[in-house]
Amino acid sequence: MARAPKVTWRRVEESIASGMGTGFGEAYRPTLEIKRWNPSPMSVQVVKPVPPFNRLCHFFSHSEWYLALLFSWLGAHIREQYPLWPWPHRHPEYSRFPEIDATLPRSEGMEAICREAGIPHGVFVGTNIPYIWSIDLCIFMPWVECRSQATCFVSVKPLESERYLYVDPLDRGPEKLEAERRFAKQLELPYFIGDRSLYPGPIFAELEVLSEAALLPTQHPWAITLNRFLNDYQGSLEANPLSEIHDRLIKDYKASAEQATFLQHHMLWNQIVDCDVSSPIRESLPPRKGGKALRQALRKSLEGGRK
Amino acid sequence: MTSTLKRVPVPGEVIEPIHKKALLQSLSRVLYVNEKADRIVVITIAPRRSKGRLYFVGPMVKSLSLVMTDIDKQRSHIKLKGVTPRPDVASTDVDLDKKYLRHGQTISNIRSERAERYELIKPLVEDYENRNLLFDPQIRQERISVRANAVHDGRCSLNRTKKKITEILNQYFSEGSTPGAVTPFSGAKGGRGKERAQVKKIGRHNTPTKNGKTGVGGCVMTEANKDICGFCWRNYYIRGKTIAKALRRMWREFYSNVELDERGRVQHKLLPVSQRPTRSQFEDWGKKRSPGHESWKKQLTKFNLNRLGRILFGTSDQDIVAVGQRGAVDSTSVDIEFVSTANRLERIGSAHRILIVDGLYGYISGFYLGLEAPSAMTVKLAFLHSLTDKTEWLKWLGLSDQDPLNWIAIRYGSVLADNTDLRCDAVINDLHSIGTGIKFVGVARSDLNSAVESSHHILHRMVDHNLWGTTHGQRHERGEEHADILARHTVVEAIRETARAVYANNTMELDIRPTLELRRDLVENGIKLTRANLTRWAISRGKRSTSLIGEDEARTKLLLPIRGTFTPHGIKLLRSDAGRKREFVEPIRYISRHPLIIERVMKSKVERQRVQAVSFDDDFLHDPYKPTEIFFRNKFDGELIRLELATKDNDLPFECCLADIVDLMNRDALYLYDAGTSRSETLSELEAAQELTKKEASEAYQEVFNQQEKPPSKASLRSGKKENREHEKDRYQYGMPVQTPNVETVEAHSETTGRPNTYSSAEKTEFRDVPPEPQPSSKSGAADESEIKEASKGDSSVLLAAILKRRERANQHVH
Repeated sequence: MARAPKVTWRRVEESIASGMGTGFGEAYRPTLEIKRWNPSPMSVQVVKPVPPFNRLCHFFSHSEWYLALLFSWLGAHIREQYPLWPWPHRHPEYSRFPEIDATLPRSEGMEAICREAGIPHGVFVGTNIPYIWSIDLCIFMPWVECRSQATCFVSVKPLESERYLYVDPLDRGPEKLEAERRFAKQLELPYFIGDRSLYPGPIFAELEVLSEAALLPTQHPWAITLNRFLNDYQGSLEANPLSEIHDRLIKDYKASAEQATFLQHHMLWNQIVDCDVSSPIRESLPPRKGGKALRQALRKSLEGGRK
Repeated sequence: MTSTLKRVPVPGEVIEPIHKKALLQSLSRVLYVNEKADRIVVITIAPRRSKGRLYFVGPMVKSLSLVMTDIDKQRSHIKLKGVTPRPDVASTDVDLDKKYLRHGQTISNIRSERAERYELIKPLVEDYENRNLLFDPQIRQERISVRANAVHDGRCSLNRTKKKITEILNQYFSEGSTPGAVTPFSGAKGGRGKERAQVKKIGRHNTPTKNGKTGVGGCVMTEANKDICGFCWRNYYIRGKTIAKALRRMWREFYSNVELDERGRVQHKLLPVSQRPTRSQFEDWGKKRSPGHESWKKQLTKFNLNRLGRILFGTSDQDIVAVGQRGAVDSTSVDIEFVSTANRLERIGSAHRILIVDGLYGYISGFYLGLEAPSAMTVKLAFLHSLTDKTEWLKWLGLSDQDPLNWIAIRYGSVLADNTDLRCDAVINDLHSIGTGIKFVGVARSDLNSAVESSHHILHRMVDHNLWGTTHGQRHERGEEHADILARHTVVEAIRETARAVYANNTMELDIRPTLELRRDLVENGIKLTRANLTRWAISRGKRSTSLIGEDEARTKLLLPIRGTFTPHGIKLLRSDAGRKREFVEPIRYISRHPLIIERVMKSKVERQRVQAVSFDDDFLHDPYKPTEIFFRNKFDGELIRLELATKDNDLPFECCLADIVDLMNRDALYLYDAGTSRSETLSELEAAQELTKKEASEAYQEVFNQQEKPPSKASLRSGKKENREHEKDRYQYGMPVQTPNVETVEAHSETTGRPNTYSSAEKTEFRDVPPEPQPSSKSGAADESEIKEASKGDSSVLLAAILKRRERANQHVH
């Protein structure tokens, strides 16, 4: 297995100059990336884009991936492995909306926060370079009107784990969570600890399948087929079995089987057809209503994650 | 769950305060409601605890209107679901016995105690109307006194009996007004006590203390020390380590000072014995602070412990609901030793196999089998195989009995992989380009990638272990024949057999219990439950991972680059094994009617003189599993242009892969070399004969020319051409000089056959016009004569060769 690259000030500066931990949407680059030298002994690491962007995202656990997928279904923009710089720095949303930049609070940096909390900040092993902490998910919620409050931090940790049964003198988990909480508090941003066990299991399986069809550019030829189909049938979609969407697209609109499946999944992901994705989707039955309500409820819970 | 119910509560319901100013400050059960009298009787549900005593308070009479006001103002609410009773309250007598019966007992203590307690209050509560009267405090006291007097037996005071009845009644009302409500709290008895904080060393004294030494009494186990023991027990006392080793490591890590020796090296100086836990303390507190770390677990490796040491109510593939949602990739070496395709006596060792398996039904959609070690290229080839239509490939392998439709092309949304071959940027980016993400399982947790691991196992058994040269996946044992000695198969044969086994795996009937849906859609329609059918069925229902990147587009992104050249006849591929030399893969070329291709081909036709040949080279994309097409990407607009194969040898694309064609060319090269030599020799002889003819003609001409008195002018030479021509024509027969045999040859022929020479004298004259041949030396001349004579017995070509040889020698003589 490859070794971790040696951390030097020059390397840190180069990484920051190359855009590490900065940017929005498609241009964002996470602080930590999945490389040959950093496999996990416990977690399933995932490299895959999360809608609505096409950039490769790096998730260091399956829970992170699933939660990011769930939040992206709600319409959120995900920045994974977001850096909590040790030095004073700007708000995560700085420069997204230049008109509110002046009103956004600044952070003193994790080093100061840790010092205040009596938590050792830590350095890169074998150096005196302060470690760059990262939080699992930094979420931007476009639907929130108050733009300075439209960001939320999520730390993804298993809520039940065997290691919680024991006192581990070397375990810094709780300290880290506390430092992250203080960081979020300083920036007046919501923060919560999440885990996939908080949500119904089938939702992730269904979203994982549907996410492949999340985006359909308006100029794409398939979008024209979709528009024609919706013009003809939108009113009656929810009363008929889902398999009928598939069959009609093939028979009446001369869509290929792959195209029909894509369009069906696109409608379900975007809730053009109100369908509850928190339980297994049955094609032979009309969609179970509740998808839109679920999305609304989850959005509210995400907004209400303030501490 | 909160309720907004705003009606009058009914007896038995529970009212829960949700505001600090609520009238009822604790969770209360409604016992009686009288709307006319504006009265409500409630009782607090939770028992109170005071000085180690547990007791229930009595019923309270409140104003119903006040309670309703609280409910209206949402200071309290009615709990619709009530309160879950204590387990013992809801237990039947049998259940209590199962739980509490001790050895030698027929009825458990708690059961008999419950029955006894209920008997005590039974006359008071068994009648519903009488029971309601008990909610009046005065009547209650009176009735309790009456009952106390009735049961008083002198073993305790009357007051104590009254108090006991009151307590049981309170509990009865509080816990639901059922006979089980009076169950005592015996279950809570005998609980674990509070751990005592140690202030001094406990246990027996150690030897120095016994001998009167002070200050060496041993380590006092504080909470921190106990936690350290627990941590070290869990993490240091592992497989391959003894308790003693774990103890010493704990001392080094937690009970030592770090010092530098004279050479600047770090030394752990252990604290005095009295300041660190002893072995018995370590064992004792290590076990106590590590529940679940039993001795059997210590025998397992850390990874196995992670896998086995916990209960999972599910499988790693339970969240897969669609085809292509999650595949699994892994590589393994095949358990066979191979021989070379060129020479079966040459051993080439083993090969590598990469499998791609769909997670939904375990369908194997593609594989790579070859000599290349797992790398980005081979992984790409495996994915390309998964996406490619296999018709041509099957034909090439000679597996025309397989239905290509049972080889379903699958594009994956994500794939599970371990941390080996796929964990590199090249693969991550390539798979990202076709919309496939990667999920890396934890280190050494290949059990999470079970779909492909079990497929490996299946193929090892179905293919590898049944062929010549198998290692059976085991180490060689003494006395056993080495696998490489037994090797007989080539890699092509292994590919064929693997394809056969994969097909069998995908199309064999599964011994699974069909779900109702499967039964309805497949079984009842006579469709077998095979992996291929199940996968097709899921796809037909829309249960597949899709993307805007279609399968064909994804395939083209995985195609491998190959160098080719635009030639006037189409695109010819350049051989990769020729180094800097530009050699084409001659037997095949690719053509397309696309304007861009026509333009480039035309350029190569008309601009050959002006530019170097290299300038017509370009990169093309090809699919090794489908050699009848290649692709050319237009660099300006990204369009992918498909070119079709054109060859005179129609069987070639289905019999040979590209490497085979190159190999075939190498073999043909020897034949072509010999043919070329023979060609040049023939031409050389032809030209030599021509030279001789020219010379003879020139000499004859010159002879005639010299016989003239005066050299004729050029005009006179050219005049009278028509008459000459007519005159010449008269001399000929059929307008051409009729062949007359060589006198010598005819003579020789007549000698051998015994027949007379029948040629006319005029014909002989023709030959006499030819200048006399110079006489060769007697020795060579005689040899020639004998050669010709000898040759005339055989075929005509040998005869001609002999004559030419003689003329050549004559020519040499002239010179």
